[in-house]
Amino acid sequence: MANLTSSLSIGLSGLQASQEAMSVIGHNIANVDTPDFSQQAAVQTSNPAQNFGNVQFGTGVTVTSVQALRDQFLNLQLTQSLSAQSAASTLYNGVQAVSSAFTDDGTTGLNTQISNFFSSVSTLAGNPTSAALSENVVGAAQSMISEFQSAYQTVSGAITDANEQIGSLVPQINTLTSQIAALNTQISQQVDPNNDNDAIDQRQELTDQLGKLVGIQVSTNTDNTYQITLDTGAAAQVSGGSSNQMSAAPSAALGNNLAVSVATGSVSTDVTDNINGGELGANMTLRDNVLPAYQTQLDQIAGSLVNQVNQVNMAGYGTDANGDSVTGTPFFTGSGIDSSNPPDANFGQVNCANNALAASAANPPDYTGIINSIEVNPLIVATPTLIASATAANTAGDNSNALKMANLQTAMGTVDTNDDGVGDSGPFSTVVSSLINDVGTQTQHYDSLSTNQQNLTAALQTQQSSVSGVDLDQEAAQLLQFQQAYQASAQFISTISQLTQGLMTTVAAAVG
Amino acid sequence: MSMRVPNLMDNASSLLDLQRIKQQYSETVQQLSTGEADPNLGDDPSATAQVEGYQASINVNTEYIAQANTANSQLQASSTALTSVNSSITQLLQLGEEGLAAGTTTASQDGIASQVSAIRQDLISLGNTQVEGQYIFAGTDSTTVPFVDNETTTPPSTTYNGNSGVSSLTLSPSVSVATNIPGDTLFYGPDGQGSDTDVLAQTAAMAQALTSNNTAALQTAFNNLQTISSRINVSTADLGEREDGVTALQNGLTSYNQNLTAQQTSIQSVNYANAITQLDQENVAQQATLSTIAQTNQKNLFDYIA
Repeated sequence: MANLTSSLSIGLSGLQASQEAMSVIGHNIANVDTPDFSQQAAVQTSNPAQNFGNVQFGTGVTVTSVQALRDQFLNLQLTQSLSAQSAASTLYNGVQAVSSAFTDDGTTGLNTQISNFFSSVSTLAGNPTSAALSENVVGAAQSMISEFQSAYQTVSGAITDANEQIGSLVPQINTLTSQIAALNTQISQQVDPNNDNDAIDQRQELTDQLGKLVGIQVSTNTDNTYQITLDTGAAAQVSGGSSNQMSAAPSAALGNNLAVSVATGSVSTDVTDNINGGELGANMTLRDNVLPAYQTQLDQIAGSLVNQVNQVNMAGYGTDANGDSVTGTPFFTGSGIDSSNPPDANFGQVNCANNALAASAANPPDYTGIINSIEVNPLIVATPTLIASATAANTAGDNSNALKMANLQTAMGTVDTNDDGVGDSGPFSTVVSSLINDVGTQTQHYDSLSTNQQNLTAALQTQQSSVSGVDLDQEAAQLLQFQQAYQASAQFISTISQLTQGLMTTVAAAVG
Repeated sequence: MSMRVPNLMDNASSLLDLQRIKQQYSETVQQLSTGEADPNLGDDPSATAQVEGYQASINVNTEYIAQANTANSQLQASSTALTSVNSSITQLLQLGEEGLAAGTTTASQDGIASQVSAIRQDLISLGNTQVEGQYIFAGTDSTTVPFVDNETTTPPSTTYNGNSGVSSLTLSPSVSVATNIPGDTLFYGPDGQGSDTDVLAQTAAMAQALTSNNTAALQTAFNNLQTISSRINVSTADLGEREDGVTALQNGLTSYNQNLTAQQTSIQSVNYANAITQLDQENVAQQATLSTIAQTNQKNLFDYIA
């Protein structure tokens, strides 16, 4: 049967179990604000009983494990959600940053400047021999070009920012994947890989951080290590205890922008087109798709404007400094505009692959970057009366060609939106409005997406927190519970001690 | 089923709410300070597109209104010159009547002939009228002096160095108005230079008839000038009609632009009453959230454990 000595051991096990449980509570309280910390609980198990004949006597309690309360499925969902939120937020910030360049307040803005240009031409038509009005047209054209270039350069700046951001994200990603791999190793080397709670929590926190930087898929191996690949499954970033380093290097195919590769052993795989989520994916989307699309539209509008205005001006007659009639003068010139001498079929128009032939679907004009290369023809800047107001020679008061140019503002089929050299749109103002609407709609879309993703993340965090978060009230209640258990065990030991002392005294008196 | 509500979660959700309230508050303040309902491009893209559309129409109409102003100014210049031409022809007809009257002496006829010659010079000057450096009766060759007098012929003749070009201005996609009358059309008439419809030639013929005391020739010139006067009156009336038409179109465009501007403003401008009410609501919500966060973080079970 159980004796007093074994009872002391039972009391001692209770003291130790309560002390260990309170230690876990202390750990929880200390980590109440630690991100991704999972509330822990000491698992107490009664010790094996001792048999005395047919009677079994308990032998106290032992803390057999410290378990963390976590929902792995929820954690992985949260990682995905954080990645999507980060991407949406980055996309929103990227588009929002350039949207101001497209705002039209009636004084500045693309539509206003285009309107001002055609208005100046229209005013010139009222008095086609006026040198002052001709100079106004030149000034309005230069302001219009500046507005185009300003918007274009704002977008270019945002593309450069996105590219630089890609370069700075890659080292951060590598640091995180290395740390996750190291924690994988630490976790897998434990006797029970599922019980290295703090390392598991740290790994989850690092995985969440990684997900914010780049879209990932996470799966758990049988040894409780994480297997992490890009969200498209293109390349493994973390495989057990090893991580594959990512690198970013300028690529000629991307116009010297950075291409991203993942090295697996000695094999490097270009994953530039296989990254969707996180900040990295969002910056790639901004750099390679969203922002260049705005530039393409700007180029098409500016290139078409150049083509249309040049066609009209070259067909009409202006007067040179000597007062002689001059025809065939392009209004706009620049490195992107055919200036062949003698003039060829495409003279005065945006360069085609073959300028000896007029632009067509088979010989498409190259509008790319045209905005940065156009200027008002220096000849016209020097002699504004070269603006061809007249349709016939030696008719200084003829305004019919100026009217043709002014009427381009409301003409249909002015902008070549499919790069076949033929205008296929509504008036310039509707194409510009469409571009502005695209920018606004995308800004709104990414704003909504970001907010929705933030809501989803908050909901998942609430769920995760309800499972894993530290509740100080709960900790306080359990602290009281284990404090009382500790006190009771101590009282029990004291009682057994008194009984032992009494027994010893009685035995000593009987012997004596 | 009850749900665990750990402390961390309270703060996270409350802070998210607070962040959104502050963001909304900031946007409402921006609306009030700019006076615009949608100060940022992404606030309401469809409204922005509408505003852009209205602005494009307003800009085009404003150009048409400016063109109409120019057209009216040019038509008025021509009209003023034509009024003077009419007045000169009226004087010529009066002088012709005097010359044809019975008992007019040769000396008187010479005096009348001198006046007629002077009026002819006035008419040539009117034919060479310049506005802002442009000869308004030179057709589209407006930098060339249109009428050159040739005193060496008998009677004196004129040469027209302008052309028959008509300048127009566009007042709407479907309306344009001719803003000049070419000098040859106006002064030489349908039969051309030196013909019975040429006011300058007929004036010279009248002077010569008076000088040579040729009553028949004087009567012919007189009759021709009467016909010419009627034609010039028709041209003057035509210019007046054009001016009226341009003014009517101008008024219509101005009124249309006012409507468009009103529409644009109704979309673009902030509703101050709504915005101020919203600002008050957001202020209250912000204070309530701050108060809630403060109270939530004040108490837990540890506060009651002695």
